[in-house]
Amino acid sequence: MKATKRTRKQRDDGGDGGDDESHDVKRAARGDAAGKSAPASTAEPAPRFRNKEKVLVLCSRGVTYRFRHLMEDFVSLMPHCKKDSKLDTKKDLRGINDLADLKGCSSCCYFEVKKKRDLYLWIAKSPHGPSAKFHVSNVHTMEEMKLVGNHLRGSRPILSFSRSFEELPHLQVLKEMFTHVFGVPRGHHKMKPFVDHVTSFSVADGCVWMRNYQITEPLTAKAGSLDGTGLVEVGPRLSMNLIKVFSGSFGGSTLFANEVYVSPNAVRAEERKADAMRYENKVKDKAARKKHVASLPPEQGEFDSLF
Amino acid sequence: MPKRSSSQRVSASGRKRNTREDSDSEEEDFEDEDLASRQMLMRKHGQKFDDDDDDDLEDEEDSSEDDLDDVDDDEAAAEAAALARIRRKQTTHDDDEEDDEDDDDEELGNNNNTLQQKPQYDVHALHSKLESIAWGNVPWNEHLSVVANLDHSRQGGPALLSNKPSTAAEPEDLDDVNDDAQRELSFYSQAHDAVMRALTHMQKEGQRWQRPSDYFAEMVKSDEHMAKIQRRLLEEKKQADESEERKKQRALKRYSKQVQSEKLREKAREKKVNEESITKWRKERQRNGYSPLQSEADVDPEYIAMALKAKRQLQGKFGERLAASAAGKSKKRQARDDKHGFGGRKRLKKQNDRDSANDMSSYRPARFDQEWKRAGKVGNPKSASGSPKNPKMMKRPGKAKRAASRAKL
Repeated sequence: MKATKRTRKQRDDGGDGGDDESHDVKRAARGDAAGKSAPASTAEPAPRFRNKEKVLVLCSRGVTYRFRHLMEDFVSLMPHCKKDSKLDTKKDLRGINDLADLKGCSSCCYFEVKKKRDLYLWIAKSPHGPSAKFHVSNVHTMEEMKLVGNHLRGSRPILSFSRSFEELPHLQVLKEMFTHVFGVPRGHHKMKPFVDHVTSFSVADGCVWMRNYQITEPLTAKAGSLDGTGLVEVGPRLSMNLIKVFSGSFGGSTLFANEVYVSPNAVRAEERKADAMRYENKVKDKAARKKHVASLPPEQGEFDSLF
Repeated sequence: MPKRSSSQRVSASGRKRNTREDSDSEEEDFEDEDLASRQMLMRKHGQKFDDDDDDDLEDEEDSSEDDLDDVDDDEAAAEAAALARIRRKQTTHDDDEEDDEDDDDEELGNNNNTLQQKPQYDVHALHSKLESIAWGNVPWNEHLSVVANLDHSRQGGPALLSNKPSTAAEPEDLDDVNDDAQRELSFYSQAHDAVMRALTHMQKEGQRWQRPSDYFAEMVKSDEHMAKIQRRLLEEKKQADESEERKKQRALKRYSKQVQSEKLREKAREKKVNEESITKWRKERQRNGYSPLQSEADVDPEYIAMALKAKRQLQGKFGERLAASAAGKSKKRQARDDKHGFGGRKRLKKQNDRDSANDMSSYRPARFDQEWKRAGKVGNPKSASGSPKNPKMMKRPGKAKRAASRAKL
């Protein structure tokens, strides 16, 4: 498989590429940036950057319908993705890297469902990392009736990031990964060369909230005027709570761990515990109230003793 | 979780050394003055994060001021604040695991919370990872990403708008993230801002982004789904309209009721006034000794008019009188109801109430002799209705007579 992949790649790159082609491009791009001060005559004309991202999208076995629909929505937003069948293992996720290699993908989106109710989303750069694991909540899919927008399948989205994505190191990494995964490569054969939607990522309350809007123009708009340009939500919408960032793809050392993250299991356990303690709490509250009342005798007024 | 390698240590002194060891190939990039602004930002993050006291931090910033002229002050301040927050967190929870490896690291001295989960934030490793995956300085058109409050014009991207269209709070500044309307508004305004910036930029660059009106292609939502949505929207609109109409009708009814009652009250008031005027007139006449009116000219014409009106009102109009008697029913209906016993209460009709119990009109106290006398007249048709004139006549007849009378019967 490896061999066939290489030959395909070589064909794509006109034979001079090889496995390190993407690195070459990166280095070239960086060299281009660094070489600005150098005299232009000595600098080699940098090869044009070409975005060749491919994203492997797959989910675990035991996925529920809502999360499956969410995955389908992701697929419809990413013409440059390859969907794979459900992954049967829950133990060794590094196998996904092999899958990505087989499919020639450089990024992975893995929807891991646990207990048929908790969705964890892995976004990974394959095969060298980094990877990020999110807990996903507040999921609304495109199926929902309230999201009335619609846009072309395969058009390129504007990616909107809130200001935190440029301020914090781990969010910078996330921004780069989101750009790779959700940005549709220019010149991809399934891409349509128009901009009619915007995918926004915002950080609020420690979570990353994702929204997808259609860009609408008023019917009476004059050519060249952007007045009245509005947005209509298309979906999906979700909030992703970052749990960890790993240096490798689906593993490796932890670069960032969210210390305020509480797993949904812990939340549920806490709820059950609180429920079990209901009587005890009631008794305790009563005693506390009694004590409180006793500690605050009513103030003796001036005329209280008269009548 | 695999243990972190020592090369990813968070240490001011070890940092730079490790950087060189890790990325020999990229050393010249680090040395170079003209790095992309992103890389400078990264490096600054790393240094700021590692430096423990504030003086050093400022020194670093001063020394690298030439490099950072493109980063505006607000942004730098925000970054510093955010990093300080993180650093505070990290210094409060430190781990002993790394102390074994680097004893000269004096900041990590807290051995007490070994059981506590290790908060991890390896800024240097994050930056090096970012560098390894980053595309670098590619044309903006390749990624189309817009960061709020960040000017992309140096990278050939959209500049900040001179007049920001929305005044909604940024997502980071939301007071309550559970307030749906506020939250969605801030997301919307962030996206809208980005769209306006991007489209303005593309227009300026002369890039085409609009699809022609005759370009039809597959959409992310199918036509059936969109039809479903449309049907649902129409239904919702219809329902809203109907409920609005109902609400209006209710309000109208309430209003007309008010108007009607006001009319009745006005009528009653007028009636009262008229009655008063009649009594006044009567008294006047009484005072005058019921002097017969010589002519109509003697009477105040106003009085006459009022009196006539009052009389009419007391009697009511012809139609009203009729209606009152029939309680709003036609004559025919009334007749039929009477005949067939429709209407009115059926139960307890024969039960006594206070009036019927006190009604003694039909009560005849028992007087034996009188009853007897009357009974004796049964056989006499001539005096059947009259009371006995001669008391002797009431004497009981003899046995033979009684038998005869029985036989007659």
